[in-house]
Amino acid sequence: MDGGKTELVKLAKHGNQAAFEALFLGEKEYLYKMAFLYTKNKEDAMDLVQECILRCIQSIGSLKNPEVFRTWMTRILINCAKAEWKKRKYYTDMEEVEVFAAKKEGVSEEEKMDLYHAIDCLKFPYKTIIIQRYFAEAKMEEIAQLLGMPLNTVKVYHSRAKEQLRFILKEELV
Amino acid sequence: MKNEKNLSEISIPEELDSVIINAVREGYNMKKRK
Repeated sequence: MDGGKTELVKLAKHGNQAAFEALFLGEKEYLYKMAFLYTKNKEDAMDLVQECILRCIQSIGSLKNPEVFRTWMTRILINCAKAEWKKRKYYTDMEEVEVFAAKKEGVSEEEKMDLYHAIDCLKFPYKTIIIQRYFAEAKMEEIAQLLGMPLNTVKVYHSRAKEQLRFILKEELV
Repeated sequence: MKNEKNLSEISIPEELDSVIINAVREGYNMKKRK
């Protein structure tokens, strides 16, 4: 992160509202696209962005290193998405690593070919790994840091997530 | 990855800026009340 952003984070930590506003406006594209990938629709993505901002402001004191603002913010976004997912009763045990159940009923063949839908069918650790790896272009080490998981675990999950996407899309992705 | 292009084609809503500004304002007001 560049010096300007680091300075903005420091100001935000000291209660500077304009600094927080500038930070989020600077991250708006990333923030919204990440939210959209978890929600698949504009309205829910906007709600998720708002919820993430509220939580970030409430817990800005917990951010020790201003240079990892984006990682910290992304983690909050994922937690918000997960909470919403749980609320809607689609969430299943995050630790479970068995093959997920693809939503077969009520889904057309065309929809099954859609990558958004395929990603949406993934359980949370897998979904986050795929979004971060192929959308945010994060390195495996960065994803491990984001999820608070060992690197090898992330690599195994990544491999399983790709298998599951292949299963959904019924074609090779890579 | 196939379809990767789709991921970069998510359009940004025009009202996103105002949503962010309002959320920041609301967040700070909530924090002040605590």
